[in-house]
Amino acid sequence: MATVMKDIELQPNIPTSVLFEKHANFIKEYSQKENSYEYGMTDYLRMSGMFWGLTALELMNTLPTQSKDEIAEFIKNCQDPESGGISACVKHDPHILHTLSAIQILCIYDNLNAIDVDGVVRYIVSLQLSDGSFMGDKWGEVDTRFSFCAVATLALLDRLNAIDMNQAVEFVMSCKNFDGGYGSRPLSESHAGLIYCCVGFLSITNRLDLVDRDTLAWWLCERQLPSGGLNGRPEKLPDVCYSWWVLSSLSILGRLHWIDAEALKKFILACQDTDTGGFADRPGDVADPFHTLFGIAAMSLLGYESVQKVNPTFCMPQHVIDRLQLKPQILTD
Amino acid sequence: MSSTEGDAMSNRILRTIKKIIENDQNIVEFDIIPTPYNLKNKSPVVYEDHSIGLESWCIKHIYNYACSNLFEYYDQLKKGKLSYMKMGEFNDLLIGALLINPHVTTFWNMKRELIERELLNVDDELYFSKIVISHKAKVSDAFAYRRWLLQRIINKMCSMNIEVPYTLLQNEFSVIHMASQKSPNNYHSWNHRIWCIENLAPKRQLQQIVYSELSYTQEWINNHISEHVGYHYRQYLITLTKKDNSISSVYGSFLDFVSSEFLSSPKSNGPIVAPAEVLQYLLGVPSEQLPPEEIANYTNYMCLMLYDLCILVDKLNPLFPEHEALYYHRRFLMYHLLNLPLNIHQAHQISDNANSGTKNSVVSIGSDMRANKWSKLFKVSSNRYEGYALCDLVLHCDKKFLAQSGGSREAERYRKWLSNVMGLK
Repeated sequence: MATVMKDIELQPNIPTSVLFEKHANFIKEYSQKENSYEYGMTDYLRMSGMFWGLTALELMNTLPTQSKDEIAEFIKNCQDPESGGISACVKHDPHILHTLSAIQILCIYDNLNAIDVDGVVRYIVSLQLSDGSFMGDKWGEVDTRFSFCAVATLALLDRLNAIDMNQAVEFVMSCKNFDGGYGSRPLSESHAGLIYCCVGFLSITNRLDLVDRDTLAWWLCERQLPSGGLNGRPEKLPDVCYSWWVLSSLSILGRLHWIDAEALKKFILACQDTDTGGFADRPGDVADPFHTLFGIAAMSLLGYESVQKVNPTFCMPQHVIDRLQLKPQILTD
Repeated sequence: MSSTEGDAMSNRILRTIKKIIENDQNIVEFDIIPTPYNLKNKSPVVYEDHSIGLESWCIKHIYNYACSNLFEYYDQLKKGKLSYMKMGEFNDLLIGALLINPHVTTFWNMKRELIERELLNVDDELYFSKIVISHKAKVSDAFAYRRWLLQRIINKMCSMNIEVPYTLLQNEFSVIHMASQKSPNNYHSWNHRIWCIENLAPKRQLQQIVYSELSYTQEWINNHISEHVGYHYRQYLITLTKKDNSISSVYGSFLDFVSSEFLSSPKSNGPIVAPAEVLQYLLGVPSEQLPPEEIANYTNYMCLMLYDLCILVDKLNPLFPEHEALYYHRRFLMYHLLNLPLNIHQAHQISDNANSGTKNSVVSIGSDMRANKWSKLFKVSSNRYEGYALCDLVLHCDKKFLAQSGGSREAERYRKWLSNVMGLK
């Protein structure tokens, strides 16, 4: 019986370089469609969207259209004075995902003073449960993504000691599977995005000793398909965002050289939209800021010239991490 | 259209949708029908065969109308200033907004606030979120909302000392099945299934529920060979048979399979069927050294995995070659079967004269499974698996399997995994 492998075939005429100018324009224009219906539909992830766009611009050494003060003003208006948490957009409810994005943006612009930092710490602390896990917001949903958000936020604020770290680590480790991977909760399937969250969490908390290093790295490498692209779970299609989740995890584990870098570069370059600018999940699909950041950040990890160095744990420019004097753990041989 | 006309129209449409949902408890699907223009000048709500369709030309109006009012109402609600009349309207807006854009966490939170004030009813909300899932099967917020609602029911029942009714679990299974069908490899729906077993399954019925779930997953895997998430769920069930002590009887069919396939005693001229004996033969564990209540757990766990290895995977593989998901399931089985004897010995501090028990075992697989034979194929780097009949048996099956699958891409990857991760050469 014939089988079709779930992969894509790269077409000829793949760009041979990153189209910086087009991508910068793509992101700048994206943020100026404020009054459109489509833009309104994405209000619920605005803060993370800003993080993707602004980080991509910074990695491409380009200044955003908004000023540092305008950005800070927006974030300030999204902080809930009561809980201290930050929302995706004005009037929306605070959530840990957007709290991290906001702190990441403020760190990039060295502007943490613009908001109530103690409030943010209070918010993160309030979300930890007795088993060490973190809720995304006060309504109680638990996910390993939120564990990552919690420690990443606190690390950027130099307040890691505010939470019960041993318990937090124990919870993340309870999400580990026999294949070395991690899922969103205990008993959940291994998933490359959540592996990044858990490995990133252990990198920040300096507990990479707990990882099944090579078993996990092996699983991660098997995400590479003949097209060069990476998927996030077995028999799924390749997607540029997994170039980031898988590659950053491999970088942290010191196993980046286990994948075929040239093939992956080619795949990522093929995901660029040569007309509109920006990267899509796969060649030919519609580009968006999310995939644009992860395409560019992956190219940075692959050593592509003229993209700034990115930190694999925080997905932020390395110079920012250096300025904050953070040294998330990375395994080397 | 002026903005007042637009608002009046949106209001009408929202009320129509709400009424349909209220009056028909069997809505199977909501969907948006691509219709760029309002050509027919009639209501954009299509209601047929328990399905609701909404023509796409009106989406923008409705969504913008809902958004421009929702936050105001939310604010008033939190301040306790929302009039009773407006609360109904508030929910109409939420229904429309969430059917159009179910990713907005804050809209779900608004519903939670209404529930907490007892202005909405938990059952109605389970029904509404099901309709949302019929439209967008991968929305994690909708599943999170269900868990939150279900947790409220659980807490309430618990405080009244009542067991959660089985129908609640059945209802979740049907919603999950729909979501898993609609969206392949649906991480959220399968995760929710695990949550439901963990939180909703009455302990007394767990034995039976797991058995029927095992049948369900076998059927599912037969029809969705490349969906790893389905195998993962089955692996969860298999693991559950080992660790949950409310599963206290042996699943006869799986034990019978293992007995007749692998174990026959020349003395009795029939298969060995007593669980304790099977454990003794395959794992080298004298039954008196094992807590009696765990015998069923270990028997089920081991027999299920042997069944999957030799029947489920072995039969499907030639039919559907080159499926990574199927090979990954094989990895799970190999890893856990090979490690079982050692783990059991360590867990119960059984002294390692195990081999004597094993070597006396009368196993029909015969001499060709002995280490010296399969070592031609595998050079076991450590002897951690040696001497246990179960490991010999499993490695023998695997050798046969690999001989048949040749050098296909997936077989090669599997071989590499065996050698690099499992340490089998």
